[in-house]
Amino acid sequence: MDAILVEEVTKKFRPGWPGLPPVTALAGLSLSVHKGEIYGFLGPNGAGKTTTLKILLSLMRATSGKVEMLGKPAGDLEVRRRIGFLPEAPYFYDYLTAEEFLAFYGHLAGLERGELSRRIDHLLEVVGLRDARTRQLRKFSKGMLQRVGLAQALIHDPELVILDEPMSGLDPLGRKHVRDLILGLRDQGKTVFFSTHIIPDVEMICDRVGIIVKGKLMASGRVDELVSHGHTQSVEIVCEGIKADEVPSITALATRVLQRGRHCLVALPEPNQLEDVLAMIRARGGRLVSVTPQKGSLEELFFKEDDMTVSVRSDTKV
Amino acid sequence: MKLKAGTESVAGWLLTGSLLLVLGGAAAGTLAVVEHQRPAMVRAAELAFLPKGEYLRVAVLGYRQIAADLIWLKAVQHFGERKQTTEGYLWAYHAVDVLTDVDPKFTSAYQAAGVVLGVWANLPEESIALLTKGMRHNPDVWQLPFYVGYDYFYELHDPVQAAKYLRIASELPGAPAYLPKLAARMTVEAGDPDAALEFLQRLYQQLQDERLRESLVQRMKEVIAERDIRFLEEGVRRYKARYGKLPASLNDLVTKGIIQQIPEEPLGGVYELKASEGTVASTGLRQRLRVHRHYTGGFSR
Amino acid sequence: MRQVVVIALNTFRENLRDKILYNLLFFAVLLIGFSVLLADLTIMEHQKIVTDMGLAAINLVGVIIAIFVGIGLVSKEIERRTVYTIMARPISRTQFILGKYLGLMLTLFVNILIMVVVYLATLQVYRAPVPWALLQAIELIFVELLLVTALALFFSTFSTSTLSAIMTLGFYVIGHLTTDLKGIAQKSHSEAVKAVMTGIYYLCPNLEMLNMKGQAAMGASVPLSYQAWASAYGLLYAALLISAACAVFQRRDF
Repeated sequence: MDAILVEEVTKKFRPGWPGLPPVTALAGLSLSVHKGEIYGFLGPNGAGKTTTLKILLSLMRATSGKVEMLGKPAGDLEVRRRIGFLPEAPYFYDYLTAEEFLAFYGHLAGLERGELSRRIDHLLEVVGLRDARTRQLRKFSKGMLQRVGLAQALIHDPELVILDEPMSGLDPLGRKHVRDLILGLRDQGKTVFFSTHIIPDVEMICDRVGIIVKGKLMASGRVDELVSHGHTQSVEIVCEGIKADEVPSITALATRVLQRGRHCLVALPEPNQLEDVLAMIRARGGRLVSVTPQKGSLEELFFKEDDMTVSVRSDTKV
Repeated sequence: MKLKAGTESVAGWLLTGSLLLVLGGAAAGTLAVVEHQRPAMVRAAELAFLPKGEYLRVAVLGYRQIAADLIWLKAVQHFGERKQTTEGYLWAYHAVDVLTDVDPKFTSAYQAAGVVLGVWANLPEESIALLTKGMRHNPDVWQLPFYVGYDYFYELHDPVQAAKYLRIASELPGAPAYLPKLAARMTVEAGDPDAALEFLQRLYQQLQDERLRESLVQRMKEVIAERDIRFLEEGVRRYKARYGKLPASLNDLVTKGIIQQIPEEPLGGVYELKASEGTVASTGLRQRLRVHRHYTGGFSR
Repeated sequence: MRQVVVIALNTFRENLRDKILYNLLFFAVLLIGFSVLLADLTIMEHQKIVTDMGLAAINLVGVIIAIFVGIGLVSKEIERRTVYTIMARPISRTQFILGKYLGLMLTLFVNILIMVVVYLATLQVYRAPVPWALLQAIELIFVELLLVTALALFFSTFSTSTLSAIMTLGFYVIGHLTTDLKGIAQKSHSEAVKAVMTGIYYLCPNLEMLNMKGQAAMGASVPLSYQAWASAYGLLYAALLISAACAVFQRRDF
């Protein structure tokens, strides 16, 4: 049994004005999420990610198709006890304190008093908001709101967690925090389904990925499967104690060499030159700081499917 | 779950629809009961509990006209009731008094209330109060003094005052040409049924409302009966003068050639001779109208 | 039921933490206080003015709360998307609507209670009598507020806050005039006009049936049976609106 099963789901919005054609948001979308995995739902803005999530949570009705979660049809009240949800850019009751806020959702999920206060203590600890416990949400920063929102989604210890753009608008530290949280959930055997338009989020933590473009699933599978289309991977080397741009043998191989203070960044187009370049660096007395393989194929796939003509270099950071 | 517009959603709609119908029916039924139970006292009292005009004028801010219209709608219903009590008319009078405080230029309210209170309600003082209040705020409307004239002449039996108001009316723009002559007749021939008849006819022409007009026709018939009675009593006097005794019946007047024929009683009754006093009465006319007994220009009340 | 109570209590808490409510309550107390001032300025009928204005203030402030908090009950949740996280919980949409309604009902009850206490204290100061009819009038005001809240909630399930406010206000005004409309219809000569007007009459809420402020201030009570029937009418109409609101809400997409 899959954690989420979506089969041939279409969603047409009634036009805002009679006579206009209906807007198709989903055109026969099918996907499945296995239990215990982290599934990244990737797509550009307006591809239908949020619509899909809304249909999963029966905030919206599909025009046609079949939707199941944890083996029950969408809309089943009991199954919602086992699901946690964080909407995109959440706005919560700002008159509540963090504690009251979590208690409210815990009550709705049917938690009893004793267990509820234990869960609240635990989750505030996990999301790092223990000190903000009695502060009203209106005084929270955006990152804090996102974290308390996550705590809300997890208050009843759900088997399946659905997150809509959980990392958007967060600073790097905040993103790392959320990433760690999601990985921690998998360690507990939970299923995590999250949507995003940010590729590195997916690449780093997802077991499997689905790419939605214009209401259809364009590709899905393991991340390494999706990127192993014969594309060569580029590599970035960071080293110190050497001025690499003054070494002609290195600049000849590299696509780019940047000197930033003591650190030097060398971008190589082919991973098979890595050993040669590393040897040259060591020979000059330099020390290796890091080697990062740059996977760009997901991005290429993403933009190709989106019919976007923007040429994107595989090493461009998003 | 197959999300198709199938039987499930049809059943859902039916269930919801019938629930709404049942609740709606129950609400409407209860409303009918409540309406019926609402004590008459409460209903009529709605008008009596209107705040004083001077307060209301402030309270309704700039919406004076619409506020006046709304009170008028309520008052009109009280005028329109088939069975009406003096109390009810007094409430309506109060309402119109308030609404004309709020909107003093509401001339049709003065007019309609003035006529109704005078012709139907037998409340000439209240009618005159409203009409003269209207005259103060709207000195150009000839109908207002005209109706005051009616009240004085017909309800208060004061032809002098009546003539005064008719003269005021006759000098206003748009007043009909017959008014000055009518005013003159009021003073000179006060108490003359023919003058009264003419006044009633003129008023009749002014009014559109069928029920008011019916009332006026009734009044005119009463005046005609009064005129006939007077005519017959004059015959009786002449008979007595000629034969030294009262006639045995009114038919004697015809057979002796004093009058040509006994006029037809317009109210559906017959004229009878009261042999003891030599007076004539009509079975259709409940009581003789006081105004016509005062032959000379004076009045009494 | 538990879910309904959770939503209701949260709504009540939201209202309690809303500053607008305190402003309104302050306004009501001010109005009642103002009546005292006004009464002192006039030579006679002190007690009547205090009695009248107090009842009017309670009613007016109650209606303002009912309309303006009522239209925000559901539409604010949708506009701010807080409804997403709630609907993801094991709670049906009907439970949600009922909870929101009950929450505002509780708010109104507490508000009326506070205003009535201030009002009765004012009457006490002026040694104005507190006839039974006054309490009857207040009970019927509360029923009226429940009806108006249901109206606001109903409209806000399918239109924007502004539109809901306008429509609720419109129905509130019509609700006080329908008896007159019916009276006019009865006088119409056209059978069609009569039928349409009678139809409208039974369709629109008749709020005038719940209004006895005028006679209550004079101490004229109504029979208990009337009060019971009138309350039943108001509550049935509110139930109708809430059911319709649930039916609409059940079928909408967010």
